[in-house]
Amino acid sequence: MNADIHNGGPLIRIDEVSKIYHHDKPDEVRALQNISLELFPGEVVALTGPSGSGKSTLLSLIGCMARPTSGTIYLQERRISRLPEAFLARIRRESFGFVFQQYHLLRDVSVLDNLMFPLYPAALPFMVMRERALALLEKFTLSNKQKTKVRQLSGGEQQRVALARALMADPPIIIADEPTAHLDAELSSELLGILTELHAEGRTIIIASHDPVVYRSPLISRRIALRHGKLVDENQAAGAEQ
Amino acid sequence: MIFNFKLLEYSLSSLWRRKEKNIALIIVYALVIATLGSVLLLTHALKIEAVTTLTAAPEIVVQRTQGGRHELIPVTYAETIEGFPGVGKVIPRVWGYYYDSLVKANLTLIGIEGYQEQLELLEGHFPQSPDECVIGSGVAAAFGPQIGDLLVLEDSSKRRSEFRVTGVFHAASNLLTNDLVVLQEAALREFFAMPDGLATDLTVQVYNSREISTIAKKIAYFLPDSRPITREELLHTYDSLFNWRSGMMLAVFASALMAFLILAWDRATGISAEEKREIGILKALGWETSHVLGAKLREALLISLTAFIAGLLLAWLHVFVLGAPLLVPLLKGWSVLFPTFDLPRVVDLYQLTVLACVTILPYLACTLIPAWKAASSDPDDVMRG
Repeated sequence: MNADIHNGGPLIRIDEVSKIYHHDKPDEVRALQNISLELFPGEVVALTGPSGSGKSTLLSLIGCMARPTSGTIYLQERRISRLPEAFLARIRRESFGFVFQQYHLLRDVSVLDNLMFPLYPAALPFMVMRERALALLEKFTLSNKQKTKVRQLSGGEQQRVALARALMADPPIIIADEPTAHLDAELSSELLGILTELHAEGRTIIIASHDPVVYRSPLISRRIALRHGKLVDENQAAGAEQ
Repeated sequence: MIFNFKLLEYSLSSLWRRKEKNIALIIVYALVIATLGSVLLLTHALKIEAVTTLTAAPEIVVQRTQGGRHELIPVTYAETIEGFPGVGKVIPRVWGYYYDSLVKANLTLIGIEGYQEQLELLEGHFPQSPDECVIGSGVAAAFGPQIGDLLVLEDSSKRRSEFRVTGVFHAASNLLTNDLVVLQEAALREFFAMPDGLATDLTVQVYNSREISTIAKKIAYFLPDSRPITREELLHTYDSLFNWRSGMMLAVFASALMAFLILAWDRATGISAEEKREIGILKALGWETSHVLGAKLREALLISLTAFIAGLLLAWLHVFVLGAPLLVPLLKGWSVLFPTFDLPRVVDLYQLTVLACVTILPYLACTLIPAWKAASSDPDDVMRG
């Protein structure tokens, strides 16, 4: 994996972070309000809460895909929330692997090319990229689909391609937003199996999900509940879920 | 990043994925450039033609006017002018226009005396008897005769005159010789019923070019019914003529440019939701703004250079191979006066550079600015739309 994460302290520290969309406009949305939390190396954290609770926004902030309106985010004690875009892009490329709820694959591009896109800026030799992509396709039993266009794949296959793409740069942190939203029970179970393997490899995994199959899984080491953009007591949240 | 071939591969793949849209864009773009290029190539070729024509023109041409009309000039005026210091040869010229209603073209009939030094034969020999003639390549093309054939013309009293073609012209300027029919002076006088002792005009050779205007003033002073026209004035007239034509062309140019700007504006404001989403995904995967812009720059360059080269080729074919049929209506008066002729195939690199700047740079800007706006936003914002 790319980053050295063995220092005993938190891997990610979020300090009084708020995120407001359309700030000072009539359609202003306070997605997150004064969130503070710490995530440690090797954890598998589930962010839970109903739709609109701020799970996806928090994932975006952690993954450097958006900047907080206020507050600070630290990655291995380095303040990253105000870094210039080029540095954030490098952090996204080297530290995080994203699995989006909508997969966000390029639908008219082959599976193999979709996997290689994250490595294009690195200008690695083509054969190195290809070998890495083929190895991941084999791991996810997609070897026979390498030349298939993404739009010709089933939902489960697209999910696995998205997961394989997230691993192309061998990141230490995997971020997954509602990874089972479009999967049936069998495929959800298969996905959890893959995530378990990734955790076993030493990766930190942060999952946003309101699917009990995910957040009640033994894989999850900690649950963080969100309501209306605020952290809530986990027991209170569990009670509300029942 | 410049030599990151994977980004080039991404650009090619991106263009290919939207091939219908991009092919349509290249076609429209190339047609606009072909229109702009045709105007530039044609006006430049006409100017070159005019300049070449004037290079062979005499320093001063003297005409006679009466009541504001051009009249035949007495040949004896030549002796008066030759007496002025600084004046070389003064040659009376005999010439006139002949309109042929069948081919709808005006020919210029001239007497060989006074012209022989300016003209160079492509093939054959100059007329040696009153029933022989030499013709320009445009006349040969319009009327059909070649060396050895007869050229039949009707004078103003509808009397047919036959002239045996003994040569075809070659001259530095096609415009100069294209519509010419050269006869012996005696034959021309008979054809136009022009009395002896009078000429159409006089050409005046001046040794020192700085004295041309002084000598022209002297001619006007000593021969009050004469009108001396200097080469400078001719140049000015030609320049005005072609500038006026250029003005007409400017209308076409402006229209094409407007079409291009609309195209560019559409591009600038019309980055599709799909393209935005794609930029957001690439950013989320770790692409930097510069990577996205590099890929988009390659795409824009591929499109604009392909369209530019295709458009220029179309313009070149349109103007120099097909004779600019789409622009000829704007030059209608000019094309009736002369049989069609080949334009000199000259291309002005300065104009090409201007054309490239006017068409390629705005397109690049219009492609890159919206891409930059999308790429410099947070990926989350772009993907949310």
